[in-house]
Amino acid sequence: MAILDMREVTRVYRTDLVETVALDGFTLTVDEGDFMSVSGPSGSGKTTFLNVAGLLDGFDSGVYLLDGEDVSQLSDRALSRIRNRKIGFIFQTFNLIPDLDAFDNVDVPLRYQGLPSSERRIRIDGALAMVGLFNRKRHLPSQLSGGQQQRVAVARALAGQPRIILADEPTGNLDTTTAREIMELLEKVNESGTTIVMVTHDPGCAASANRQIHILDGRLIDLRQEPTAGLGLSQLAAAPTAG
Amino acid sequence: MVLYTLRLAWRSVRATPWLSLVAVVGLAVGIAVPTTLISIRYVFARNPIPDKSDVLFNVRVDNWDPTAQFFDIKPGDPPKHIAYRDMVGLMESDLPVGKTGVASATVFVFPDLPSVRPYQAMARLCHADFFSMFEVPFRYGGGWSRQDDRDHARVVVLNRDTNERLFGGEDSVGRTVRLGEHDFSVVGVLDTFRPLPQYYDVINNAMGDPRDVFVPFELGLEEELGFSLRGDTDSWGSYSDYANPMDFVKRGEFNWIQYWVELKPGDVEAYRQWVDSYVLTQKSLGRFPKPLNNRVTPVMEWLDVRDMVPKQVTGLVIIGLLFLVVCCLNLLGLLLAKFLARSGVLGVHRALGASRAAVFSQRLAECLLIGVAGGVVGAFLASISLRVINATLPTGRVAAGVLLVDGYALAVAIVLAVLAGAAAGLYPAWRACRVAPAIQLKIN
Repeated sequence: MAILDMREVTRVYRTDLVETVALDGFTLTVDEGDFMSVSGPSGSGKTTFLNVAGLLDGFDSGVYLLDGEDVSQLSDRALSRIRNRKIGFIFQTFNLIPDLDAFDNVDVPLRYQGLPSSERRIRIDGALAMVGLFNRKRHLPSQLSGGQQQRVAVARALAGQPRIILADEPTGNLDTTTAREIMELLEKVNESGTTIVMVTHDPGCAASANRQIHILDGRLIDLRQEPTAGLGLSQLAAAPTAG
Repeated sequence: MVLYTLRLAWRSVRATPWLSLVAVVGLAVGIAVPTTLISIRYVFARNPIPDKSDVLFNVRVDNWDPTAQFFDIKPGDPPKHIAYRDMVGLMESDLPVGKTGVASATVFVFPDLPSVRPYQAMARLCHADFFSMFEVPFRYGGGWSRQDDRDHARVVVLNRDTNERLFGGEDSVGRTVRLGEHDFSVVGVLDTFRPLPQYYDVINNAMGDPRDVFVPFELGLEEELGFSLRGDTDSWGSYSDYANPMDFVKRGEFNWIQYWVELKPGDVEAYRQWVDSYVLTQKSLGRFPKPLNNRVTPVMEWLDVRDMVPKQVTGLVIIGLLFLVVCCLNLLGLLLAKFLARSGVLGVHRALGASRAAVFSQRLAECLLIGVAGGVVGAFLASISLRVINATLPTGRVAAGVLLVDGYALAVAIVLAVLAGAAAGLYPAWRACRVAPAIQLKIN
C-alpha cells in the first residue's frame, strides 16, 4: 500500500521579479516499508520535495495523498496533527531545540500527541536506549557531539511512532564512522517496518536504500525504472551533486 | 498543555537572558511610571465610604457678601463652610437620620503618667452622630450621646494612638484625661480608622491622620476649656459689630464648619426644601442677601466640588500611559527580533506537530511571562517612587495612602503588565506563527 502518493505536484516560488519552478509535475509513489534515497544536484528540488512531503510547505497544483488521505485542503491544525502522528523528521543540522535536554527534545512530539506522562516516559526512555543515549538524557545538545545529537534526533523521530520518516541529509554533518552508525540505525528502523525517505548526496548512504530516485529540475527519475525525461545515466552522472 | 506551554516559554526566556532582562527592565520602568501616577490618583479619587456615600450629604448655604462671588470654589457655588449660627439652625431639622458639624481645634493634653510630657493635641469637634454616620470603629466603648451634646458633657473619645500614648493601649473607658485645665471622661477608644480621603474634612485634613481626640462640638467654643479653633475660615462683615472674637465666631458671617447630614433616600428633596425654608427665614431676619443658593451634596460629588482629583494628576496619568505605550513599542521590537532570530526553533516545533495556534500560544506565554516579571519589578519601583514622592511632599498627602496604595499599585502594575505584555507580544507572536515551517527551518 502506498504511504506517500504524489501526482503531478507542482510547487512554484514567486517573487516580484522571479518565478522558480521547484517541483514540476512531480509524481512519486512510496510504498509502506520502503527505504528510499533521494538524490539530485543542488537546486533540483530535493528539499522542496521533502518539505511538501512532510507538510512543511504547500504546493500549487497536483494531488498528494499521505497514507491515503488527500492533504491539499486540510487546515493547519489537521496538517499539524498528521505531521505529529504520521511523520518523523531527521535534519542534516539535527535541529534539536538548544534550551531542552535530550529527554525533553524527544518529548516534544509526544507532548503534542497529548500522551500521558507515564507513556511518554516509557517511549522516551525506549527511544533513547535504542540510540544508545539513555545515560545522556539530561544533557543539553551543546553537551553532545554531532553524532550524539543526530542520534537524539533519530530518537525524537522514532518516539512518535510515525508511519514514515523523512530524513534530509542525516549524515551530511557527520564523520564517516558516525555516519555509518546512523545509517545502521536507520536500516534497523526500516527493518521494523517504518518507511524511510532519505535525501542524501552520499552514494554509500544511498546504496543502503532499497530504492533510489533522482530529482532533476523538479522532476523525478526513478533509478529502479528506465531513465525518463530523455536523460541517460551518463547525464545523471555528470550532473553536479554538491550542496 | 498549559503548563508545558508555560515551561517552554520560561525556557525561551532563559535562553536569551540579557535580552529578557532588557525587556523586563524596560517594561518595568514603563509600568512603574503610570502605576505611580494611577496610584496617586486613586488615593485622591477613591470612594472612602462606598456603602454610605449616597446617603451622607454635605450641606452649604450661601450667606456670602452680596457684592462678591465666594472664592476657592466652583463658580456659582456657595461658600465651602457654614457659620456656627447656621449650624445651630440646621440642627433643628428632624429629617436627617444623623447630623454633625465638623471642625478642628488644638488643646493641651496633660497626661497622668509622669513619663509622658504635656503635649498639644489636635481635637475633632463634632456631634454625637458623627460616629454612627461615618462608621467609626471602636476598640473600647463608643461615642457619646446626643444628650451629652446638649449637656455640654466633658467627655472625650481617644484615637488609638492617643490611647496608646496615655494609657499604654489599655481599655481606658471611664478614666479621665486632662485636656487644657479640665478633666474629661473617656467614653470610647477608636480602633484603626483612616478613611482616605477624610471626606468629612477634606478642607483641613483630607489625607492626614485622624484627630487625636474627639470632643462634643460645643466644648470647643467654651473659652475656659482651652480649645483653640484651627482650620480654614472665611468671613465677611465687620468685627466691630461684635463684642469679642468669640461673639463674631458664634454670631457673625464667619464660616468655619463643615456640616454633614445622613438622609434616607426618600428624604433628600424634602430636606433640600427644608434648608431653603430655613434660609428664607433667615432672609426675613436680614441675613442671606444673595438669592437662594444652597447645596445638599453627596460624598462623591462633594469630593468633586473640592477637586480632590487635581486635573494635573489626571493629565500626568495620561502622559504616564503614553510612556507605557512607548515602552510597549520598544518591547514589541525586541520580541519581534527575538522571535525572528529563533524562527528555527519554532520551525522545529511546527515540524514536530505544533499547530500555528500552539506556537502562537507559546510565544504569547513568553510575552506574558516577561509582562508579569515587568509588572512585579514595576510595582516595586512604583512603591519606591510613592515613598520618595511622599518624603518630598511637605504635607505628606500621598503618604497617608501609601500602605493602602501598595496593594492597589501591585494590582494595577500586574494588570498593566499583562495587558502591555500581551499588546506588545501579539504582533511578534502572530508574525512568528505565520511563517511557513519550511522557511523557519531554512532560517535555522
